[in-house]
Amino acid sequence: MQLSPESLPRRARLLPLLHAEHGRRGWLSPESVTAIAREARIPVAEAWEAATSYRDFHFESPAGKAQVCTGLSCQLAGAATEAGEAVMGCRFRCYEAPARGHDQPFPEQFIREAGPLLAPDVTDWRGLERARSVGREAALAEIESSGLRGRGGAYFPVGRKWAGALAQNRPIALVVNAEEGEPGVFKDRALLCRRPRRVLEGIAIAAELLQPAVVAIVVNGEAEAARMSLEAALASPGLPQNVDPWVVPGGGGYILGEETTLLNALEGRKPVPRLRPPYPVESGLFGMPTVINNVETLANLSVAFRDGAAAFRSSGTVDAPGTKLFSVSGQVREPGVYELPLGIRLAEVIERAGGAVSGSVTAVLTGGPSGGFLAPSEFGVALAPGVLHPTGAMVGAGGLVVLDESSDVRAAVLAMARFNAEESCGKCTPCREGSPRMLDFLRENDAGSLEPLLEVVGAASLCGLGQMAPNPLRSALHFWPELFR
Amino acid sequence: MKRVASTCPYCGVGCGIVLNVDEADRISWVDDVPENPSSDGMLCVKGRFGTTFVNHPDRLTTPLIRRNGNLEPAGWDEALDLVAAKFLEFRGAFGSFASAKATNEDAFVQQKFVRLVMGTNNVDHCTRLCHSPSVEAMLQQLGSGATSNSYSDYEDASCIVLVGCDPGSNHPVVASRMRRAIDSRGTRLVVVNPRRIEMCERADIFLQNHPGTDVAVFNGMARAILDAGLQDGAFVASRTEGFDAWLAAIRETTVEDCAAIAGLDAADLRAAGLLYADPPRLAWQPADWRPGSCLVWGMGVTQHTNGTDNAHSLLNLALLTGQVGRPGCGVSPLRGQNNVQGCGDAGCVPDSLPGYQRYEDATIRPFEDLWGAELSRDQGLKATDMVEQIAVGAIRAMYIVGENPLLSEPNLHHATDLFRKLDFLVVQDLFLHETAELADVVLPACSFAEKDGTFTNSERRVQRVRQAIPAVGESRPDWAIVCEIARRICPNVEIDPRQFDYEGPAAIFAEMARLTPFLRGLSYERLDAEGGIQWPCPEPGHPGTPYLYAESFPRGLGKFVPVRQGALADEETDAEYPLILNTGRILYHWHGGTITRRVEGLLDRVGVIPVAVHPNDAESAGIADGDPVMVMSRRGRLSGEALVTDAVQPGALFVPFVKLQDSAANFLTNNVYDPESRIPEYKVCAVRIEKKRERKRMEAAGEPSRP
Amino acid sequence: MSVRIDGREFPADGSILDAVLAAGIDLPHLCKDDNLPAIGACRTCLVEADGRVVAACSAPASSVREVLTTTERVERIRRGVLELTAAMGDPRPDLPHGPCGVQARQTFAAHAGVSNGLSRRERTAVDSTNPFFSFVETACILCGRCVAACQQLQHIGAIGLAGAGLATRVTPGASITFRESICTSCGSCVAACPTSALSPKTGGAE
Repeated sequence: MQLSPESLPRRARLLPLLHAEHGRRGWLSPESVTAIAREARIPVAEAWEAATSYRDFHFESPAGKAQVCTGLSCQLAGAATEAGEAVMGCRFRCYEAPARGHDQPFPEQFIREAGPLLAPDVTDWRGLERARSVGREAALAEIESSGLRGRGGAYFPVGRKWAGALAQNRPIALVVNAEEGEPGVFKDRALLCRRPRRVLEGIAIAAELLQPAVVAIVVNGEAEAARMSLEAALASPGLPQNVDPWVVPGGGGYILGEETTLLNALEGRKPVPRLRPPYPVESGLFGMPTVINNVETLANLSVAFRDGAAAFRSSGTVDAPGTKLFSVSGQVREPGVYELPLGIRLAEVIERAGGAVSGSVTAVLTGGPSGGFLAPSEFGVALAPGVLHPTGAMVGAGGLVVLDESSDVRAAVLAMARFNAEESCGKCTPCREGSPRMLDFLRENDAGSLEPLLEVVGAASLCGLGQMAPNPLRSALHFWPELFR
Repeated sequence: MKRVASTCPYCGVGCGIVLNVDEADRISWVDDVPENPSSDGMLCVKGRFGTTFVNHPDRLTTPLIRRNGNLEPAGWDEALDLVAAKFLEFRGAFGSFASAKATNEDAFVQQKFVRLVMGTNNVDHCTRLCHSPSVEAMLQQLGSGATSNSYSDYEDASCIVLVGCDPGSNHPVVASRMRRAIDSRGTRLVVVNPRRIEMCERADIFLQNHPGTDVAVFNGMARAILDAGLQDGAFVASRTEGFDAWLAAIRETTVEDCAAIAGLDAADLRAAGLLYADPPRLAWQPADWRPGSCLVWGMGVTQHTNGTDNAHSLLNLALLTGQVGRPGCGVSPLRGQNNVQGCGDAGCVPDSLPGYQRYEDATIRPFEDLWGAELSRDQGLKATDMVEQIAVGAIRAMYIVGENPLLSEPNLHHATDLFRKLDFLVVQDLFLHETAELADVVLPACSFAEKDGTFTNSERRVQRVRQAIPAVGESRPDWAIVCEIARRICPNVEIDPRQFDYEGPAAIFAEMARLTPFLRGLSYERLDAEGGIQWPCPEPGHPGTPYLYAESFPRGLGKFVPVRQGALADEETDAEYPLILNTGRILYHWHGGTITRRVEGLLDRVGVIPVAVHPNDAESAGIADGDPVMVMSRRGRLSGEALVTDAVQPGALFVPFVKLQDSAANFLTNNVYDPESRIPEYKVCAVRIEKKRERKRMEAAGEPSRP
Repeated sequence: MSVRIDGREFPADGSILDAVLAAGIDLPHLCKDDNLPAIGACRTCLVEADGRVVAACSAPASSVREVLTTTERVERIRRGVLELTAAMGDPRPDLPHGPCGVQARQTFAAHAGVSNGLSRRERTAVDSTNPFFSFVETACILCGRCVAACQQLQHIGAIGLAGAGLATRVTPGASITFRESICTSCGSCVAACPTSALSPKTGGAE
C-alpha cells in the first residue's frame, strides 16, 4: 500500500504549490511565497530560499515578453535575441532549433531511430505480468543478470542500487527522475510524450519488486506536454493496480540532475546537494531508503522483462548491455532521438543523423556541460559508459551536439562555461566563486590563470556539477589551444 | 577572557551556558553547550543575550534600612542585627517566601531557618502562583508532582499535546526540540489553547477552546477514546484505581456536549482524543516500539479557580491511555523559573519537608535528629494565604527572598494595602523592586553569576551553577545571609548556631542529599564529573532517572479522580466589562520583568505592554494596530499598545504580565483562588478596552481627567 | 580501527576532520560547526585520502586508510579555495574560538581587499535592526552555518540562503530585515558565524 502524498510531511507540498502558483500567474511574488509557506507549514525564509533557487521561477512579472531559447543548439542555429524577448536557458527543443515560445509535445517524426525501447507504445502489461509470475527473488536476479545500468548518466548497476535499498529493511521511496535539464538532451520528453505506457510499465515493475511506500515522478516543470501525456496515461483505463505515483513538476535547474538535490527539492528544501554518506539508498527522501532512477532506466525494465535478460544483453556491450537514447542536435541534417546500442561509434551516429549541415563536422560535444568536446580525430570512439577522452568527454545522458564548419567552437566553449557558471547552485565555494572566474579567464584568453583554477574547481567542488564543470574547457584547450590565445 | 560553565538563570528548561567574562569582570558573551543533554547546544535570546543584568547599575550594593520613612544605606552588621531582633519579636506571626530563582542550597537553608529557628512551616514560593494545581493533582493521583519524562521524550513521541502553554515564548528551547521532532521525525502536534500560539503553525489539530473549559475538553477527549475503545485496558486494570467512579462521571456527557461547552467542533475534539490515545507509528520507530504521546501543559490549565480540576482531567487522560512510564510519553507541567522544581524539592513548601516528605513521625525524625530540635508538624500557610492573613494579624513579619509579590500577586492594589499593614518586612534581592520599596530592611543578594550552587530543571536534572564574577558591591549569596540571621537568633530559641556554619554550598547540598531520599546519590563531585543528573538518584552509583513510573507510581496505583466542568470562571463579563482578559508571557520579557527590563536589547524589542485584541473588538472600540490603549477591570487599569490580531478570539484580550512603563496586568487580575491549591485566577477576569486619548488634547478641551 | 594521518596512527573516530583535529593538526574548516552536522560548503578542510582530494568534514575516518594533510597538491588546491573565499569580500575570521585555522587566517590576510569582481556585486547589505547583533554582508562567505543553526539546530527558519549561484545571499526573507522577520534573537547564528559577518553588539547592559 503506497502512502498518499498527504501522508508525507507537509513541507513536501512546497514545490508543487510553487509550481502551480507560477503556472497561474507567470511569476512569484513575496506575498504568494509567504502564503505557500504557510500552507506547507514551513517558515517563510525557508520557502523563499527554496523558491529563489529554481531557474524556471520568475520573481517579477515577465508579462508580454516572448521567450527565446539560448541553448547551445539554438545558438549554433543562429538564435539571436530580439528586443522585448525574454532570454531563456535551454528549452530542450534542440531538434527544432532555433526554438521560440512555449513547450510543445515532442513530435513523433523526431524519433529518428527506434529500437526495443521506442518501439510503438505497449498495449498490454506483459512485462509486469512476467515479473510477477517469476516471483520477486527471481525477478531481482534477472535484473542483476540483465546488466542494466542507470541511463541518467552515471551508469550505476540498477540491481546493485536496488539491493542497497532493500538491505535497509525499511519502507522504500522510489523517485523517478524526469527532471531533464541538460541542454541538448530531450529523450525523457520523447519517452513521456510518445511512449508513456512503456514508462509506466517500467515503474510498475519497480513498484512490484521494491514495494515502495511512496512513488514520486519528478517531471521538468517546463515539460508541460510530457507531464500532461504522463498524467493522461495514468488516467487511462486498465492500468496496473500497484502504481499510484505522485507526479511532481520541478522548478528547473541543471543541478536537479544531482540526485540528492532532487531529494531536497521533493522535501520542500533548497535544491542543493547533500553530503554523502549517507547515500540515498540508506537515507534519502525524508530518511527513507530511496531508489532514484531515470525514466529511461525504468522504461528499460519493461524491455528486459518482456524480452528476457538474455535478449536484453544481445545489444550493447558486455559491460553495458542494451540500447541508449541519444539526443542528437546542433548542425546535423536530421536532429532527433536515436535509439542505438551502447558501444556504437560516434562517427556512425553522426552518419545516421545525416552528417553536417554545412561542410564537415568539426566538433561534437558529448555529455553536455559536464562532458567534453571531441575533435574529428576522436570520432571513432565507442559511446559506452566511462571516459571517452581523458579531457572529460563522456556519454552522460546521451546528448550529442554537433558543430560544423559554420560553427564557432570558441563561442560554444564559452557557452558551456557560462552555463556552468550560471547553473552553479551556490552551495560550495569553489564552484560558486570559481566557475564564473573560469568563464572570465577563458574570455580573456588567460590560460595561465585558468589552468590552476580548473584543478581547484574540479578537485574541490562538492558535487558532480562543479567537479565536471572544467571538462568542456579542458577538452577545448586540448584540441583547439589556438582559439584561446 | 575567562570561561565558566553554568546553568541559565531564566526559565525552567535549564540550558547549559558558558559565561565568557572579560578583564573587567563583565559577562561579554554567552556560549551554548552542545554536550548539555537538556539544551543540546541551543539557547534562547534571554540565555544568550539576557545575562547583562548582573552588571546593571541598578544593582543593590549595600543593605538598606528604613529611617524616617526613607531607605538608607547601612552596614551589614547593623542590618542583620535589626532583622534578627525583629524576626525574634514576631516569631509566631512570621512568614517567608523563598526564591525559585535562587539555588537549591539557598532554598534549603531558608526552609531550615524558617522551620528550625522560626518554628513554623510558613514557607512557600512562587509555584503557588504557577503550578500548585498541577502538583496538587499529581500528588493525589500519582504521588509525585514532578514532570515524568525527559525533554528527549518529546523528540521520541509520536504525538505531543500542548495545553495552555506557549513554549515558543516561555520555554523556547523545549519549543525548538518539539519543532525538531515535528519537522524531522514526523511527530504530530495537538494544541489546546484559547489563543493561537506560535506552535499552531505546526499543529495537526488546534483546539481553540473557550477560556475555563479545560475539563470539558479533556473529558470529551476521554469520552472519544472510550467510544472508540482505544483505552489501555491492561494499564487501567493493573496500574490504576477508581476507574469505575470516574467512568460514571465521563458517561454523563457526550463528546458533542463537551465540544459545545468548549466552543469546539466535535470532530476535531474526537480526532484529538484518538490521536493522543493511538498515535501513529513513525518511520524511525523500531518494530517493538509502542508509539507514545506526551501531555505538556502550562499556566493556562492551572491559573483558574478550577485549576486543580483541570489538572485532574488531564492526568485522567494519561492514566486511561497508559501514556506514562515509557520512552516517548509522559506528563509534563512546564516549569517557569530556573529552579522552581528545586525550590520545592528543597522543602520551601508549607505542607512538606525537603523531598516532599509529609509531617509524619517517620519522615520528620531524621530532620529532628540531624538538626537537634523538635519541628512543627502543623501545615504552614500557603503564599497566597500568608498575604491574605496579614489582614487579620496572623502574619506580622515577612522575609521575602528573591520574589516580588507586589508584581506577581493578583489584584495588586489590594495586595499592596496588605503589605503596608505588616509590622516588619525584609526583602532580599538584586534590585529595589516594588515590594522592596515597602520594606523596612533591604538586603543585597548575589546573582547566579556570583555564586556556586545547583538548579534543578523541569526534567528533574540537577545542574551546577558556578561563580563567574566577584560579588557585585557588598552583595552576598542568599544562603550566607540567611545563615547570618539564623546564627543571631539561634541562642534565643535554644538552637545550636553551628547548624548554620556551612563551609559552602557543597556542604549544604550534602546535607540536603542526605535528608532527601531521591537526591541521596548526588554530590558536587558527581555533578562536576558527570554533568547534570536527573533525580531520583537514590545512591551514588545510580545513573539518574530519565522517566518515572515505569513500574509503579509513588502512591502505588494511579488514581482516577472524577471531575465535572464547573463554572468557567469566578468573574463574568457584563455590559461595563465585556471582554475576558487572559494573561501570560512573551519571549522578550521574563515574568514581572524586574530582570529583563534591565537588559537594553530586550526592552528595545518590547518596551510597551502589547495588548492583543481581536480585529472585531478593535474595530468596535475604534482602535487601530499600534494605538495607545487603556484596559480597565473592576480593580485597576493599565496602559499599553494595541496589537490587533486574530490570534485571540473575539471577546478576549491577551496581556503579558510583565511590568512596562509602570503598567502591569496584575493591577487588573482577580484575587480569587482555586479552593485546593490556592492559585489565583490569573487567566480570566472581566475588562474593557479603550483607546487612550492624548492628555494634552484633553486638557486643551477642558475635559476632566479620568479617574 | 585506526587511520594513518601524516604518517602516524590515530583512532578512526568520526569524520576525517574529527580525527585530524584530534591529532592536533591545524586544518581550516570554515563551515563545520561543533554543534551541527557537516555542511560541506566551504571546501577548506581538504585532505588527500588514499590518493583522492576529499573534504575531511564529510568523509568517515573509518572509510580511508591513509590521510595526508600537507602534500603539495592538496595544499595548492586548498590555497586556491581559500583565495576564492578571501576574494568574496572581507572575511573577518576573528571569533576567538572560531574554526578558521592558521592557514586560513594567513591566506585571508594576504588577500585582504582582493576581489574577484563578481561575487561582491550584490552582497553589501548591513542590517543592524536587531538589538543584539548586526549583519555585515561583506564579511559573509556563504558557508551556511548561520542558516543551519537557525533551521536545523533551533528550528526557527528565520534566515535562508536565497537565490542560486553568485546571487546566493543570507537573508531573512524577501526584502525584510532581521527585526521584521520571525527571528527570535537566539543568537545561534551569531555563535556559528566564522567570519563575524554576524556579530554581537557590545554593551547590551547599559
